[in-house]
Amino acid sequence: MPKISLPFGPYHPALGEPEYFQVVVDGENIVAVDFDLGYNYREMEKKVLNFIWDKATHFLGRICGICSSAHTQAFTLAVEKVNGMEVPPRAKWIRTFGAEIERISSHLLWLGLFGEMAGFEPLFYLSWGAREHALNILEKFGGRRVHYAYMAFGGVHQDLKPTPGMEAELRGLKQKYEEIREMVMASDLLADRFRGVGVVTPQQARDYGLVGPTARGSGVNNDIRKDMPYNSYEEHDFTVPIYKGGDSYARAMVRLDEIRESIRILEQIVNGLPKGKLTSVNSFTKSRLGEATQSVEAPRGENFHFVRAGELTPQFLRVRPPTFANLSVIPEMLKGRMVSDVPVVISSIDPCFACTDRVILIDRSDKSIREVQL
Amino acid sequence: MKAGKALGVMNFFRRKSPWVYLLSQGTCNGCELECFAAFAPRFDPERMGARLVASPRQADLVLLTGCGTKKASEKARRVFSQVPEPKTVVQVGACAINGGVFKCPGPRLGGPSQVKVEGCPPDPTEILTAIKKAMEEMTCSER
Repeated sequence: MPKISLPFGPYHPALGEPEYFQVVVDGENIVAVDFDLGYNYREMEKKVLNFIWDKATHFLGRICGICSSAHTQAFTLAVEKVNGMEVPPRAKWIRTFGAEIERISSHLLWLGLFGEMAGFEPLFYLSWGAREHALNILEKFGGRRVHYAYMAFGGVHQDLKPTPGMEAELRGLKQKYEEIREMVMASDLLADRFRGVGVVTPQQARDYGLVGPTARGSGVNNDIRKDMPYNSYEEHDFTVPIYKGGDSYARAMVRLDEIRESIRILEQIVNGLPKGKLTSVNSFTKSRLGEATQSVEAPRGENFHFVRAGELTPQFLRVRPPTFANLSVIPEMLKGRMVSDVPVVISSIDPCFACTDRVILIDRSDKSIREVQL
Repeated sequence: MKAGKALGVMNFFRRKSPWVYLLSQGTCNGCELECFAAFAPRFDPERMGARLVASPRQADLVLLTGCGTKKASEKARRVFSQVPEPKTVVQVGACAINGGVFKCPGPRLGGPSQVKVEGCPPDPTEILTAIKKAMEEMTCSER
């Protein structure tokens, strides 16, 4: 049977964003996969060099709408490292609060889309309904549902006031989460669809340098919150869920358990927020010259920023988002699977292409799209 | 006369149940998130007939997001041309209106009747209000 090249994208119902996957099929079976990135490339690493420090933070939040706070935190922490700034404990706890509520909202968003990919639409409605609780908390805390700009150099802009309304939202979130979890665990339909699909062995996970829940689903224990603690993660009591299955189901369970751990951290913060100042500096306009790196645990994995600070603006910035590390394993996961598994496998790593499209590489010598032979 | 009457009836029902296609031409995901959230259970516009569709060929209304990146804008134009007439466009977010913070070099798409929703990203309620407004503006003359 002749091999057929099947395009997935750039505009495909299974992908939320414009991105192109080329799948070569022999009958129903996949023999080769290639992908073409760069549809969301917005020249951000170059444009940020024109912004003064305060504007640069808000601009870098726009790398991605889902993990906005992960990017601003990595950048701010790196610049604070260059300048040797102290961050007050209250600000550290508030930063952790922002990062964890973002993780919950991102994982619930992903869970809904993942359920929809498998043709299980009730999960989409339930988890997006639960996500609104997280967004309500964010709106009360950061002022907005998306692109909540609470990060400032040396501290935070917004204070966190644990009101009864916020605690009620947190309780609602917890209750809905338990309902969803029960449903996912009880449903053989979902488990059968996801078990054994897109398997990554622990050796492969290490070889490909996977990060975040994708690696933790394959039994690799890496979490920046434990390995290189930042913010106030050392002071909180939480565990890192690890599953050994390596398939889509294991990755789903890692994310489900992470939501529970994040809710635990949120409760600890709401109950025991230390008193004190919000920022250590009044304004930040001039930086010392120097370089620094910072990794933070974004919802999808390790998010790495390298900053070379000039006086008034950044001089150089390099971002390595988590999806960039995880994307390379997709051809390996799809090897020998059926065409109908493509949306499930692609969405099982929770790809965020808005984050990933930092750099485009154009091969001038060979204009045709090359196929990765497996 | 007969054709005109049929068209009027068609437009009456089309206004009542717009089928919406979300077309992103290179964004930060913020506007897509809020567009999806607008169709999620909190607001649930499906009770009023509006729903998201997967194919551009089924759509009456296009939610246009994004600043128009070099690679995506040409592909987005081709997808946009597949939406059958009469179609109406809602530009969602600052990027789709004037390039936003990114000021991307690619050409941004326009459309026959444009309703704009400002914000970075706008609130879901504003997106739903804009969809309602765009469907009210849609008339026979656009055919």
